[in-house]
Amino acid sequence: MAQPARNRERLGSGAITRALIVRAATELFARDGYEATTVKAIAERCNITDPALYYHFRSKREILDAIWTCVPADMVPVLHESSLSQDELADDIEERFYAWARSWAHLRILLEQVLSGDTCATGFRQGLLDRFRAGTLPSAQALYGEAGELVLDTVFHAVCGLLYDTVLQHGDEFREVVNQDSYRRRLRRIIKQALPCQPPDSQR
Amino acid sequence: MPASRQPAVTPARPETGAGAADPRAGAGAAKRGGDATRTRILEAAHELFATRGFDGTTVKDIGAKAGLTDAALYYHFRSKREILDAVWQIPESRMLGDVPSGEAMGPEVLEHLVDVMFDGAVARDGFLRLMARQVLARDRTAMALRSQTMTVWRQYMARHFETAFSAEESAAMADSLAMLIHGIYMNTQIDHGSGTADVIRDPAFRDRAKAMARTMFPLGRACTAEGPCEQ
Repeated sequence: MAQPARNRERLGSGAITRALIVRAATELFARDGYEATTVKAIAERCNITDPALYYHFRSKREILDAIWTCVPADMVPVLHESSLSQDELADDIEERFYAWARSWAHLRILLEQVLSGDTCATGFRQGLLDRFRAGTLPSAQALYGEAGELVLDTVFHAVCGLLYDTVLQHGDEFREVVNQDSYRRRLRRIIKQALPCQPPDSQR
Repeated sequence: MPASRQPAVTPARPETGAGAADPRAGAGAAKRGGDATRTRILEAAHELFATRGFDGTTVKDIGAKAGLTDAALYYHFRSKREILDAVWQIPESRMLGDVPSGEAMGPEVLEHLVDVMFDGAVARDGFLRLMARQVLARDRTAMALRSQTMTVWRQYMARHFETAFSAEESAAMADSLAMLIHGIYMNTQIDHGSGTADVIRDPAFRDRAKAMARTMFPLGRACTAEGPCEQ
């Protein structure tokens, strides 16, 4: 059993193995929790030996830290060239939400770590906000002037709140729930509530 | 638990009546002794579960923190799980009290709501984090309790909106406000960890949170040059 694994390890490049380890760990941490997951279990999932894993990461903690620096491609949003109308901005934010929601595993791990007092995910969260702002601020400033940044912060927190609440409320059914029409309408409503100057007849 | 005969003790609780003539005074005293120990156990457990998690805490840890032997602890609870189930029942874990009488919804009431929510979050930080951790661990009791807590929270806010809006609109607005506050709170937790409570108490933090709430709910203030309106 060990022989074939070592052969496989030699064939792949270091970077590929690292990425496989991080991906396997992400799946296990999300499913079973960080504390309950062993390095052995991660190694088994990648089909490598423990020593082979330790070659890349000195500890379970190091793997966790690496997870935050490996942002999945679909969490990186598109930057717009021209500024958006209010409706287009709402659409854009909705799409970002669904991009974030695809990384359900990262969100679960993030919440678990945060709730045990670990601030390891701060950089990750700041990265989310930075990319969010970079993509939406020009439009927000064109629409709302100086208040653009406040508006975006409001929308960001409201949308994050919904995201975290859904992970907590629905756990393993997260994916099914966020794809329901009623959920999409709820998200849309929250986004529009946070973007000011809705048509006068929608607010008394 | 047998009621032991105690020397006459003035009851602490008015409902047990006055003095040794009351046949329940003896039983009351023994029960209060038991209750006090039970409470000590639950408080110790609450704090340990919140900081170390349910799995990370042993019954021995709880006993040590409460100043009890294992045997004394097991007299009250048969298992760690039983202790957790009792922690959920602690009265101060109920989030909110009665809705204050219907002052019409407006910017001041909105800001007051923001304060109430964050004050509540700070006061119950340990409990809320424990509940959320257990939810992630797929603990069914915690999931039901969280669901109930969120509902109570939303209804509390909705009742304020109902002084100015329909029931349906109020429910939707309360939901949006709840998600805003939840997001601010969780993002603060992500950044500050155990320092969150101090950050949330800071007036500058509250002012920012209120500014965001007002962005969401302009309420009665017409869009003027000072607001973000362009229309």
